[in-house]
Amino acid sequence: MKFIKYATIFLLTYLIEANFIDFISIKGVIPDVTLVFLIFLSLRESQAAATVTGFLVGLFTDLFTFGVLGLSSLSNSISCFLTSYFKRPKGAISIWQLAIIVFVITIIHDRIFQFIFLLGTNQHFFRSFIYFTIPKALYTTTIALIVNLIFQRMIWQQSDF
Amino acid sequence: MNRYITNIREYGILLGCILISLILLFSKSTPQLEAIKAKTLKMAGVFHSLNNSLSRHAHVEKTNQFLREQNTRLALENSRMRAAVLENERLRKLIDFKTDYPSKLIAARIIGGSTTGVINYILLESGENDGIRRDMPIVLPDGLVGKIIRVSPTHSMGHMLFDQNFRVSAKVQRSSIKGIISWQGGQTCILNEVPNRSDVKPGDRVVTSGYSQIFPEGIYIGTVEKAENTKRSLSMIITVRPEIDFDRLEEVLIIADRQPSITNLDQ
Repeated sequence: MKFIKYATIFLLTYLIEANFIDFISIKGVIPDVTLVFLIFLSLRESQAAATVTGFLVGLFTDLFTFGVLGLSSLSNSISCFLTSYFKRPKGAISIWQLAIIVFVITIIHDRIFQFIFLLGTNQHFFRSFIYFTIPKALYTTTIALIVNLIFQRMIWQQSDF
Repeated sequence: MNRYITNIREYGILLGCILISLILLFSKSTPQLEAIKAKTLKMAGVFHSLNNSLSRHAHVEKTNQFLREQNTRLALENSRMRAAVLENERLRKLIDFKTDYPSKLIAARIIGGSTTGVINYILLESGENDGIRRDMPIVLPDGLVGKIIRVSPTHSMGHMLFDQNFRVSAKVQRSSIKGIISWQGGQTCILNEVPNRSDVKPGDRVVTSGYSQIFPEGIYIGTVEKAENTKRSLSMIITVRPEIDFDRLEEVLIIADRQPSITNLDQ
């Protein structure tokens, strides 16, 4: 039952990401909605479940978009694994802690992604960090806080994993 | 003890996920993998088609008005163009100018994609059944759009000029100075590998050089916006602005009668 619930939420997230993301892009900066979903999932579920979910979601994303197969699954698995370290019993995470977690994990996720994606090209790693990763992390954090504000009760219900 | 076992299990799972991801990342593309990709592309295509038709219906009235205006403008433009084409043909015959422009073009409707991320692509409602093959160039009258990178029987996917991993050999039409076009973010591209003090000026047209098995020579890419010599490196910094508005693409044309690409020949 829980898997169906998560799969449905993920598909909704994917729908939003695939169709409406261009409308909410600000000067080319887009939030990673799927990562927000994965972070909340990782803060609720066990580390193993979060890692596997991150991997599967990444594989799905790579297959259904013009992705490099294995790239999203790699960055998602590591991000979910790391996020799980911040899991607290009964979801006792403050707004500030959540903001920092999302910000840091988005940066880690994006850096892994960009590092492999830009291998062999002459793109500047530091430049893309300043102009792309930081704004993206800030935007993704904002989205996560908005989602947390709206769905707070639903998100932090104790998991039965 | 239990805690250690749990820790080992979790690290093991992470290691497994990383290993599988790395194998997928660095393994060569097999026919089976390509078949899976084609199948998922087909599914994604069906999903985007549904979604696209819904949003299209919502904007149909606005689109109709726009198309009527466009139609009137194009009809006027067309009559002027006809005269120009006739004149052009006469001149071509006179100087026996041999062109390598492709003649067969396939029109395809865009049903999805991304134009604002790092990975930018378009999903097209035409595929193998319509004659589209991998590595075919995607163009518009305003210039180069990209190339086809994935094909299923009913849908195809295009890699866009505005993508960090897209490269195309190009030249400045006036002086024939050659370089490599790449996107650096925003609405402009960079013409790389052009030595300092080369004959490049703002306003010069940049076209494909023809040094490619994929792109024919002379496809318009954009106009030079800035051309500066640098002291730190041997190359000029040349900013090129394409005329295509990649955020508003609706339909594209695919050049269908180019020679097969090097990749296909290798296969």
